[in-house]
This record gives sequence, C-alpha cells and structure tokens, in this order.
Amino acid sequence: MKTYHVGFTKCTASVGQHSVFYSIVLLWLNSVTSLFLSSSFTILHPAIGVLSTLLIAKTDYEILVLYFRSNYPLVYLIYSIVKSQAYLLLWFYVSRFYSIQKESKDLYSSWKNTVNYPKRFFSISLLVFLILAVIRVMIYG
Amino acid sequence: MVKSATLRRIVISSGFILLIAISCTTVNSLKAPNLVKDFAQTIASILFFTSVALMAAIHRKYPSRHDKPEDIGELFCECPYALCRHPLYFLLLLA
Repeated sequence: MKTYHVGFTKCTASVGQHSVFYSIVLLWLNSVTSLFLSSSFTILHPAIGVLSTLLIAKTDYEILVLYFRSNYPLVYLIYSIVKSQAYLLLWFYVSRFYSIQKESKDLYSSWKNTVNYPKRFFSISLLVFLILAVIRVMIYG
Repeated sequence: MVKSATLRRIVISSGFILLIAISCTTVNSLKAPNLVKDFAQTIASILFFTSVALMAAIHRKYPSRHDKPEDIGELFCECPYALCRHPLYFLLLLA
C-alpha cells in the first residue's frame, strides 16, 4: 500500500490493489482539486492564494529536508521540486488573471477576459497534472 | 435597521462557514467509492473556482460602496446581466 501526499489531502492509492490507470486518475483528480481550491483563493487575493500554495509545497520541503538528512532517492526529490514549481507557476498564472480583472475598465472587458482566460488555464493545469500523475506512478511504481 | 451591505456580508460569510462545517462533518457520508468521490470533488472544485472568478469579475466593477441603487449610478444590461437578472446571487448559489 503506497501513501501519496497530494495537496491538502492524504490520498491513499495502491498500485498493487488497483491498476496503474486507476492510480494515475486518482492522483490526477486529487492534484486538480487542490489546485482549483487554492486558485479560488488566489482569485480573491494572490496573497491568500500563496499561503495555500505554500501549504501544498510544504510536503515537498519535507522531502528536501529528508534528502539532505538521509539517503533519500534523488529522483523523488526532483519530482517533488517539479511538482512545487508547477503549483507556483500556476499560482503566477492565476495572479495574472487577478490583475487583468483589476485593470479592466468596465464590466464588459472584465467579463470577456474572465470568460476567455480560464480556457487556457483549465487545459494547461489539467495537462500538467496528468503528466505529473503519470510520472509519479512510474517513479514510485 | 441593518444596511443591505452588512446583511449581505453576514448572510454570505455565515453561509460559507455553515457549508464548511457541514462538509467537514459529513465526509463521504454517502460511502461513495474513491474514484466517484474524487471525481465529484474535482468537478465541485472546478465549479467553485469558475463561480468565484466570475463573481469577482462582476463585483470588482461595482463601486466600493454600493449599499443603495443610486451608489452604482448606472443600469448594467450587458454580458452577465443580459443573461440573468441577478448573476452574482446565481453564481453564489452555484459556488
């Protein structure tokens, strides 16, 4: 039984009990859920959003400490850093969305930007976390 | 008499606190399988994000003080207001 720490939640997925596909989907759904919940805070104010993003990256920091203290595999560390970077980059993306809303002159431009901007965000975030879930299952076995 | 802005703040914040309390106390009370539960959570989080983003887009265009109709000064008839009479409340219910 493998325990995956995904975002806010501690998701338990067993590759042995379930198929690899099932584990990938479970990890992907958990990552996307935590991303969208933290992004909801970022839309209100990026400062609130960065707190939740740092909370997500906390487990990766713990892995970094583990790496320097013990004989932790380098590949796990690289994966953790990549995952944290993905969350931070997507935080920047949503922060840009926040500033676009603030800069819009009227309701028309604010609404149009809000409707158009998430299309890219949705596709990028869903794809990034699908790739990360596949890599995670491949690394952790 | 309580001002409408104050009433809105009380109703919205207490509503969200109540929802969080209900969500925490009824975790997986339907005993749904992991995959169904996680899929429902993901859909809910996407819906929540979309609603919050659209609500923010509308609310940021209001003047900072909008307790009375004359505080806004104009009648919004475009974009969300062309589709729905009260888009902010509709999105709030959706969230």
